[in-house]
Amino acid sequence: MRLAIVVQRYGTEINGGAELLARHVAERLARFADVQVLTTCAHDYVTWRNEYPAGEERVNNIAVRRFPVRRTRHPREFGLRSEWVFEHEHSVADELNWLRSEGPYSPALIRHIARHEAEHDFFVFVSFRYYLAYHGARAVPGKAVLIPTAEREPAIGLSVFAPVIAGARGVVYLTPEERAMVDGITHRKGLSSVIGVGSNMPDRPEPGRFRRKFNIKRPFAIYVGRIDPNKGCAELFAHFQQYAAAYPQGLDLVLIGSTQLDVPSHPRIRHLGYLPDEDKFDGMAAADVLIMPSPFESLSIVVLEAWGLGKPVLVNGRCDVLRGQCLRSQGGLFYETAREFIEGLHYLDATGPAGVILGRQGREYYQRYYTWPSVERKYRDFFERVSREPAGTAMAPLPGFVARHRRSLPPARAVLDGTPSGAVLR
Amino acid sequence: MSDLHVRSDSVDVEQIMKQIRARIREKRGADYTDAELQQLASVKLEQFADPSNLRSDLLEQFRQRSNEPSTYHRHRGPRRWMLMLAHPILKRVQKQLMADLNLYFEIIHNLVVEVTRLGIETQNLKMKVEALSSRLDFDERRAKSLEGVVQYRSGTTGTTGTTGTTGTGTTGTSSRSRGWVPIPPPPKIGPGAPVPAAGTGQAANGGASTSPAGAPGQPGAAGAPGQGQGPGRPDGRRRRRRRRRRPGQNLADSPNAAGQSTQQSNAPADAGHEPPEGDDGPDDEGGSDL
Repeated sequence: MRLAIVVQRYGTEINGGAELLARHVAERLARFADVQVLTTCAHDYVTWRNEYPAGEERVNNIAVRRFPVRRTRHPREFGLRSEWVFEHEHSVADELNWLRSEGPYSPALIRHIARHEAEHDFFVFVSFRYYLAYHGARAVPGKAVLIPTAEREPAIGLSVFAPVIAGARGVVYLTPEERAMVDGITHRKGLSSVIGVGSNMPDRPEPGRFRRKFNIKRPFAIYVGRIDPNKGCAELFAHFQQYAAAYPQGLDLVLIGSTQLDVPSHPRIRHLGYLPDEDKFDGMAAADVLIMPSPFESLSIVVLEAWGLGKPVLVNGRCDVLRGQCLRSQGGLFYETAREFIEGLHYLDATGPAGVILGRQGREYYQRYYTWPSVERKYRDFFERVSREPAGTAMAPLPGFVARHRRSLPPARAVLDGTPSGAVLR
Repeated sequence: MSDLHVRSDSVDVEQIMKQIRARIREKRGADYTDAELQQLASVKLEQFADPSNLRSDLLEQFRQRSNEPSTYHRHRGPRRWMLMLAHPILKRVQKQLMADLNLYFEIIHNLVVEVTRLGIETQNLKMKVEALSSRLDFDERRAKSLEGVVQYRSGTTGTTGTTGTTGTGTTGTSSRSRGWVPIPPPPKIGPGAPVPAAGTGQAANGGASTSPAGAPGQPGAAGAPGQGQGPGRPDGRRRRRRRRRRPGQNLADSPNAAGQSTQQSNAPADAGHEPPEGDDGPDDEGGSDL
């Protein structure tokens, strides 16, 4: 089987969620398929500036072909267009302009996909919301497989995405909540599967080494990821300071990740900055609990990693995906208010065996569904099914010039608000 | 208070969340939402901080009043004359009154300062009490959860009743509540279980044991009263009994003293051995002295 994976950025230095997923999937699918990655020369996801050389190279033994980005992204223009299509009645043309301003705008890559359609059995497009996935899938509708990585955010409510997702040959979702949301908006009936992703965790993390290296003696909760208001970190700090006042002998908070938000100066909050994977996993193994405050997640790999290490988690219950993961795995607690955060964290700290049992249940869930052999087997089964079954509904074409410019589409946020929400328990 | 207690091998997240929410409701005393609490707090604050009700010149008024001319200075004619006649007496009275007023003013001022200080101190104490109660709550729940789920180290003989519990408690408090391995609750003794005869061993005493395994700080399994005591213990081990020395007898005179053969000390108890005076009576029938 010959597969092309299309993703906006690619490289070992790139740790964005979707890009990391694309790299891991490519490396795993290469075990049973001939995989080529088609991507851009961009490294920076804000501007899509060309930084890698165009052409072919190999990354971890995977063939990668890069195409230049013709136009960098202007954050201000993109912000204005986003505000317009998310909050106001607009037209299809407005949405297409929004998509183009988001980028990465690389017509050369789209042309390559159209010209080399015959060389691949399937094109796997990662992240529905980018220019490449939309125009690439439209270029090869009969061979398009989507991994949408959709979060509950307004972009999924834009009307241009519905026919592309509904008409794709196959769709791979990361969680049942993502499937419920996307299928609810796009009314997709075709073949799809919830697969998720594994993680390359070390066999034996060393929590003691982490404690020694960073001189951490007290028990602590850990947050791993970008320290960003969009990830719920401001709320995390506010909640944790209340917790620290209520429980002076409770857990400390250790933060790992690059920061785009001021970390409060507090004796029980410690920021270690961005750390290599070895330290990260050692830290997670040393922690009592992992906290994930993000309200928008399509799949939190770090939560799965915590379960893989047998650690319980405390997550933001307003995120359907995280809440659903906790309920299905029985591996963690969730909160919606400050009081629930405080008491939830106290529960995990004070009721030691409960934390151990939750961690064990999470580990069982991880081993059942999210280890690489399991994920690999599901991908293999999925592609076999997609190969066997004929293509479903055709991708609906774009409307004509006049209809495309008629401002009659509802705001994307309103569309999203009208879709069912909540955790999927089965 | 909700019992945040874990006893089984698996836990239900939804059940835990219900417990946590119930606990939050109980802590509040009433089921106020955060918004309601904010509203109540602001109403109370307005009552005290409303500028229209504040008398910022209160102190000044009080001082002025004390400096006002005496009552008779404000009158004219014969009334004033009469008052002037009585001036020396009135002056003394006024002086006395002013001294009293000054005293009252000082006392009230000091009282205000003291009340303010006490108010602040009360707040501090309230916060301390809250912190202590949360710590107490934490300790109670940790102790409860540990009692139910700790698995004891293999190879350590279990004791019964008080001693075993003490061992567990000591272990629990000396280490944080992590890394515990949950086990199912200990098996109950059914009707068919061996029950020691009355007066055999210390079973009749509610299971108080002198086993070294039950020493404080050593993990020990909490057993049912009377279980594994008396003759023919199920684990095949003999119970060590402390001998009481006679008055005037020193350590060298005791049967196990140095100088006596180890063989003798290890000899079977029933080989013509007479228990010394002062032995624990019921234990003698147990037959195992060493």
